[in-house]
Amino acid sequence: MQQIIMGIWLGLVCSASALAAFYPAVQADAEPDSIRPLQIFSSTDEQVMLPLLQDFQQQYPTIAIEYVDLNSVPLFERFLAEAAEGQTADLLISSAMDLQIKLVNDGYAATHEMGAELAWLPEWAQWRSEAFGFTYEPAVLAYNPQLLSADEVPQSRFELIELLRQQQPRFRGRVGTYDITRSGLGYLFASQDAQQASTWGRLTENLSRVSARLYENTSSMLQAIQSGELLLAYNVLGSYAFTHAQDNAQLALILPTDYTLVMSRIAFVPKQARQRENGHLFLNYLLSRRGQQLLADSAHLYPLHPDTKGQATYSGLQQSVKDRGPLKQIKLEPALLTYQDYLKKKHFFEEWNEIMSWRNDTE
Amino acid sequence: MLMHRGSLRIRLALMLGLVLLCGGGLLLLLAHNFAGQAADKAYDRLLESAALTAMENLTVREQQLSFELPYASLATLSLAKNDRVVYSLIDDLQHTQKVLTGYADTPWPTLAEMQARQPPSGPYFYSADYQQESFRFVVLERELLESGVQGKVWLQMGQSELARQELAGDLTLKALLGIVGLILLGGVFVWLAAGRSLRPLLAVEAELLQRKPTELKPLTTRVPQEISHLVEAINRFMGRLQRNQDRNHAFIAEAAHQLRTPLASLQAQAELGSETTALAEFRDRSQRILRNAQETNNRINQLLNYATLAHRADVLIPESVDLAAVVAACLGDMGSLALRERVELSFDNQAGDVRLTADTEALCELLRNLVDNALKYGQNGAAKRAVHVSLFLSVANVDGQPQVVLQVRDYGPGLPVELLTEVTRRFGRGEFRQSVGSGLGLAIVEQLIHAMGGRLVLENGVQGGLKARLLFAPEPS
Repeated sequence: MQQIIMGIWLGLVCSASALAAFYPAVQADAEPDSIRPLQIFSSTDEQVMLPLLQDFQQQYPTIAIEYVDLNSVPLFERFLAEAAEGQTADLLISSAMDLQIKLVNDGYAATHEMGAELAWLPEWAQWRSEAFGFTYEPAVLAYNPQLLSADEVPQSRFELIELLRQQQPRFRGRVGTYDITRSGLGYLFASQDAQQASTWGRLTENLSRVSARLYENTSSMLQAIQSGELLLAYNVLGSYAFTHAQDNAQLALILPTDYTLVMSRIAFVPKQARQRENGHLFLNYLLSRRGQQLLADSAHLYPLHPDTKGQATYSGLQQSVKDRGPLKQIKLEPALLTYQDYLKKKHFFEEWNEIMSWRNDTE
Repeated sequence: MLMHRGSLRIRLALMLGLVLLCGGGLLLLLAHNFAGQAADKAYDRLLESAALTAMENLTVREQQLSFELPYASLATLSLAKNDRVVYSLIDDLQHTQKVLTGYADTPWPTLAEMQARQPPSGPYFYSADYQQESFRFVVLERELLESGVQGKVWLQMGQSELARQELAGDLTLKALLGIVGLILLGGVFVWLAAGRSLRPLLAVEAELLQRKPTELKPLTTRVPQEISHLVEAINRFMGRLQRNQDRNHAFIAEAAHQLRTPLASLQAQAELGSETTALAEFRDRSQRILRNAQETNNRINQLLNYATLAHRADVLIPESVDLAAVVAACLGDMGSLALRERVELSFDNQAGDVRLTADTEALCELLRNLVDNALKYGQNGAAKRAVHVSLFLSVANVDGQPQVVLQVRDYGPGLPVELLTEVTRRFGRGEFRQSVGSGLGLAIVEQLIHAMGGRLVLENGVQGGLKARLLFAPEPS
């Protein structure tokens, strides 16, 4: 009987998205009435989050979870579409900080009660008690150590520009980076690069000259490196790269020494959530010591909590960049809206497209 | 212990405390207002600077508007942690008011409001609600005068008001702390001051407590103006007590003196009587005893009468009365007495209707005493056995005011000239006492008429007899 009810419910929610994964409530003998679904829209890969989802359900056995894995831009658009219809998912997790803060700034987020247990949260990692950063992930340069010798590996953007300029033929078609027009996170990194330093212009020109390949997400870039298709990739998400590099000789990563951008995954509970309470529960769990430690151990997502142990943590990252260069934390503040300005974004895209179109000319 | 209604100190402290509270409340209101303005001023600057920075980046390129929102602009607004930001750029070049970029649904002022702003080319600030949150907006206007691009462009920048409210709240709280401190301090001061200003009352109390029960002298404690009336009232009251006491002392001494002699005489007659065996002498003694007893009885009556009247003089209840009517009524009561004494008692009113402000009983008592005296002492060797009571108006006196005169006249021996003024002293001493009895009657009359504001004049008639005149000021008609 329960199976059937669950099946119907599953059918209903799955009709909305083919990408959704459903985790029924683990308490098999629970009353059907007491089973409450939790719908999460997230740009974080489902496999990465799986340990957390399971651990959460151990704590709340009557909560069934639907995890909808979307890229940050479609996630943003789908959320807006649902919000316009009146009801939305219960929790939004996205690495596109600027898109998240736009939603919060535009009044879509509910206030999350910050108890004393959240006192550890750094000031920049929360906004209006509505949006919360829960990871601390660097943008790195990933490369294939078997194709690129250790002394060749560029340590900074200047070295990367120089390397691409000097060995154009060797790198032609074998450098990857985000397609900023399709990936929200890619756009965030690019806009921050453009904002932070003057190297951005020369870097994009050189990426264009070597006909850099453009990707929608980190995973596909990492795969391309491991397969030898790419020699290196710029602005790869450090957390994913770290996980893959640990047991793979084809993959290594460095943190640029001129500066290393650090982004934080942002979660918020929408005002119009169907099961807002469940959203708050999961957000609490994400920010709890237990959730954060699990993020470090199983998801390697560099949790923010200062007490978490391991290399893929806030303190671990601070340790590994100690002698390298500054970490540029992207702060969770409305200034991020600047690059979401319609004209600004349009202009940025036009410039990007123009520069990227050169490669056809040179090829 | 007297029942008391509250405490003066608490009352004073409460009143002044109330004043302090009201003042404090007003001050707080002002502070709150001021804090709000100060916060608005501070954050308006931030808002304006963000908008100005953004406006800088509006350029005209190849006859086209180009706008690049600068990072610094929103970063400036991000200084107000937790505040939402909105902005919007409207191009009114063709008077079409097209949103070029930013938020399309923010509240805008009307054109008239914009045009009325001061200074005319300056920024326009206003507060409005956006998505159920209060926002503060600024609108900058820029007139473009480039070739091909001419007209107005408006840039709106808005920010929610959390930081302002926080700052204003913070300022208000600090003001509140100051004001509460001031009120507390003021309260303590008021409490002490109230205690201090009530100290003269305590001094008066102390002086009263220290006195011996018989001491009725005026209070000497120096007091502030406000309670000097109270002390004066106390002093007057004590003066009355003193006079009463004096009178009582004199009365008791006089009564003792007056009664001791006839009683001693009575006792002596009775002793002599008890020793005699002759019936004729015994009868003679008995008659003397009877005379003595009658005289003593008379004196006791007069004494008691006097005591009653003396008391009455202190408690006169004046009212407007028709003098002739009162006199007629009183004489009516005395008619039988005159008849028994075979004396002709007549009343003759030459004054007509005269009204007086006086106590009826006292008036009657006056008349009764005078008539009584005339009946008792005015008939020995009288030319005729008669008592004439007459009412007439005197010749105008110094004030130009005629006085009402009530005269009781007899045709007896009159009074020796030297006694005419003496008899009116209470218990006149000397020979008069021997011949006319106790002399109490005229003393009573004198005291009563004095209390009524009138005067007693005694005069011997040209053809003998005594004229006792009561002079009153008539009621102004």
